[in-house]
Amino acid sequence: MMQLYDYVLSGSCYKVRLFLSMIGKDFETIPVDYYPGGEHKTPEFLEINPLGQIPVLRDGDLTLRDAQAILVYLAGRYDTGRTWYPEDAETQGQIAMWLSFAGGEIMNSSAARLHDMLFYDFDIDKVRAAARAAFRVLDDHLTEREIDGADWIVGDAPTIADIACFPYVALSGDGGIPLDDYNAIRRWIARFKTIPGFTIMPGIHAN
Amino acid sequence: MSDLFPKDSWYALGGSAALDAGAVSPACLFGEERVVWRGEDGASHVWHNQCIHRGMRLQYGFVDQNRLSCRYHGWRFGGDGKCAYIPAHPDMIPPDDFCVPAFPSVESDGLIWTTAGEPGDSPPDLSDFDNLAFCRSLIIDADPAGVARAVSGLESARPVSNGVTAAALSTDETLVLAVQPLNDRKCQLHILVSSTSADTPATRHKCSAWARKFRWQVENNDIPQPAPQAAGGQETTR
Ligand SMILES: N[C@@H](CCC(=O)N[C@@H](CS)C(=O)NCC(=O)O)C(=O)O
Ligand code: FES
Repeated sequence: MMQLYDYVLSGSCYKVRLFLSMIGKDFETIPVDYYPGGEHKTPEFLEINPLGQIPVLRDGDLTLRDAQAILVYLAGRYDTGRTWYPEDAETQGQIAMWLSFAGGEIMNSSAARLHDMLFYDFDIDKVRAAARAAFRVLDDHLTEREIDGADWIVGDAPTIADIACFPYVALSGDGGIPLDDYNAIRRWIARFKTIPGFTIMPGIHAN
Repeated sequence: MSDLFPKDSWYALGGSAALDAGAVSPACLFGEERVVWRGEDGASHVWHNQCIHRGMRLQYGFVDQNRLSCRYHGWRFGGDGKCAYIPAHPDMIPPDDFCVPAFPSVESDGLIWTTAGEPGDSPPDLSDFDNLAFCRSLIIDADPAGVARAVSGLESARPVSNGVTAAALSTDETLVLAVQPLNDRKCQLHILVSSTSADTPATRHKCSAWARKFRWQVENNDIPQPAPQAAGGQETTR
């Protein structure tokens, strides 16, 4: 069975757990003692992912790191309807754009959360400002999507772009960044929670 | 801020269509926190954003039919703000003074209006604007007075009521801009447009793009100076 190197409080691991639940695919979790153990930086774990990060997915002989890469793989391999990562190049290009945003700009919200929750040494004002700038970009995008009657980041149905962006946007309060200024983001979060198979994690409630 | 934005006046909080039945949203006016929510019956409510039990922000609550439920201990408040049910004391009828302070919530011209004071009977009447449609709201990180100045400098700007201004987007499109003063560093601009194609995606996108640019100009102090008013042929020297 597929194995996920996982940590309950990780929003990045949550991306993978969410998606596997939404496509109804069974998996096994291998808990990584991320905090306080720092197991992801041990030589044993660096054999699995030399970047020393979670999540990592193992499926048969394949080992993949990076939540976004894992989502691309899982959608291509197991989503029989091909709705989560549609096959046309235009849609894929747009999805890749938002996957990169999820693994890039939005990770400032993760940094703010690591600072506030797990005492990481980040320049908190700087990462919060960068997270807010990213949220504004997403909020404007979603506002203009709503003008077209569209509910999701790309296309007419949820895709892995929504999955990848969701955790660190929805968890931003943990990093001291309320979502009060982002009306369209809050509406998108409410819609996201109605996707069949939606699961929660600490910090994210069901409705 | 008080001259331009008197407390005893109506202010828009958002578009009616942006608040679905069952939705709960935070809002702010003059630094006072509000919760805005819509029951399944379609009625909208603007309340003090604080539970009378232990002070939890009600914005994190959820709508249970036509009641707002606090996220913390589940107290249920009816549309009138009165506590109707306390889960820890299911048989108790909550006393009348268990009540969340409520403010007016009036919906007209596609907007939800409220007040922090004692305004006139009804929100500004925008019925003079033909084919008026709500486009979007957007937060601007700048003080309301500065935003009001920038708005008053727009092409053909003319005041409609406190915080509400009409301006030309093009020769046949009129913007109606409602400023909501959040605090002294921030406000929200609600954008409506009056034109024969007001309620089309193309026009709404055009207004949204205009709004993003306007926000950038205000936040970066790059406000185009108002064109000098042609005052009946009179020359004004300074
Ligand atoms: N690019 C990776 C980043 C994931 C990530 O930041 N994981 C965190 C846990 S939530 C981590 O392992 N951080 C350790 C580090 O970066 O040293 C992904 O998107 O999966
Ligand atoms: S704080 Fe609201 S029910 Fe207790």
